[in-house]
Amino acid sequence: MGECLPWPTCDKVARIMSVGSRLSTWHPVARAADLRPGDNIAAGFAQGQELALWRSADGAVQAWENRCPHRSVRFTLGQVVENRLACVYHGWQYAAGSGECLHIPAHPGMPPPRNVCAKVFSVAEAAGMVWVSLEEAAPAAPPRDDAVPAKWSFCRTFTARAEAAVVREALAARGFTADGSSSAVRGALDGIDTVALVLDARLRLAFIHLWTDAAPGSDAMKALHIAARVLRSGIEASQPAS
Amino acid sequence: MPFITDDANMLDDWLVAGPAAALDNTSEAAPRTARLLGEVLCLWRDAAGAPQCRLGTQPLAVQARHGYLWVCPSGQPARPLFDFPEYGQPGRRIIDCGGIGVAVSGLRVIENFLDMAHFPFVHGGILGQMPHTEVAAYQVQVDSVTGEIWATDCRFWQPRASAAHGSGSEVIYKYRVMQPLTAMLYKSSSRAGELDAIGLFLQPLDDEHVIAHTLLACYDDTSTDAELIAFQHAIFGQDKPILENHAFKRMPLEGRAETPTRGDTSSVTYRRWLRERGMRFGVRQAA
Repeated sequence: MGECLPWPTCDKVARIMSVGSRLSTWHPVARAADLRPGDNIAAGFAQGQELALWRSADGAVQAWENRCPHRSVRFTLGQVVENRLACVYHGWQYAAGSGECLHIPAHPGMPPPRNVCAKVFSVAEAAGMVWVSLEEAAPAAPPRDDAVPAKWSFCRTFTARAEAAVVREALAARGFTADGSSSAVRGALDGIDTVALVLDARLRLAFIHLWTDAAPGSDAMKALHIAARVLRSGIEASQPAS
Repeated sequence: MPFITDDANMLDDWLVAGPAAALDNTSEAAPRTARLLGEVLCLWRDAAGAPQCRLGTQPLAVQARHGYLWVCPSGQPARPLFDFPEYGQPGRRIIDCGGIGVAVSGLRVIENFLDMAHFPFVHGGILGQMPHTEVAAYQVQVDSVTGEIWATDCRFWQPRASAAHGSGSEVIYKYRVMQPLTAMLYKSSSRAGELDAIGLFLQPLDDEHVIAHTLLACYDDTSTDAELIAFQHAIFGQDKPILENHAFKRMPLEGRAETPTRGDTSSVTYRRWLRERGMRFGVRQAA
């Protein structure tokens, strides 16, 4: 959809995407609790698509192409106004849900043209995460709610300069297993029970969201943070220099 | 051609390469360098006081005018450098506000310069203020003799229009685009019946990077140079993060990638003007 982030052609995508992510077209882009109703706008990435992630005042989560249709300025610089997103540049306001432009402040008396519309992606919440589909039609099945066990805590999101498939291989080598129907893999890092949600954010850049049964602030949680850094160093050290 | 573009709109025109004063105390043996279209030029003033320019061993056409150095990469300028009559007018203060790097196509920077609708959002409390957001109709024409774009009868409500303006008022603007990467604006000054002139001259480093030089030719009997420069820097400092956050750093001239509205007459005319001259430098190719 016209984004300028580097991303290979379809053949190449098919080759590098793992089995797990091909089965599911939902991409875990952010922790659900990090989007507050009527408040912040977070940047998200999935397969080279740059996203503006936010929640309308009524709590509905939104995933939009991170680009105002007027002059292509990133929506993430804007602000949430009730159930609308306002662009930072000229204050154009777009409706949650449809992405339709509702207000052009330069012409307060004129209804905005109907064809001015933000690009909106299908989005869902499950297992404490926000999931985005980049397909025209949303997948028939919602993202699985059991990708992360109930009551587990979020550790952190970290990046690795590698393809998601390489990250999954590195986790598999440490005993992590996939259940085959979600992008989650489960295992232990430094002896701490962990679920890792891995996605290709953009070309050769994976995002890894870590959840754990360790309690927030516990020694085990601190140890998991360190284990994540060690994991990333190992993965990136195995990559050819680019 | 050694330069990174073969667009005649760049090669056969006069491009700014920094302030003329930068050649003080230079010589062929100790020149000043300037980046232009992917190359590094050597510039100096010869014994007779004339500016000289070289790329490697090749001499390039250069002139010092309006306080700046102008280089024609091909040596075959399609037209003379634009006139700037206000530059020499008695009573005007001439202030070079310095060059600021911007990581975006220069075409985006000029379009932003021509735009009033962003004032209440990007320059709130200075060049605009809620709820005064409306852009009234204005006139845009292309001068049949010079080929320059003129936007006239522009007016906008401003709480503090310049360093010399203390309180809010409706301010009159005129805009002028001389070249793809140079423009002027004229606005109400502290002297009745006179307009301040502000020049924006972009030095193109490549398709997605410019150095923006701002020049004031204004009437102001009270502000210091530092205050006038600080005001321009404050404004530019608000525009820069917006300009550097276009998802497409190059500007699309065709297709439906971006949607203008009624008050974007200047932008629509500028893009059409660029399209008609076959502009490719700094332009996003249609998908």
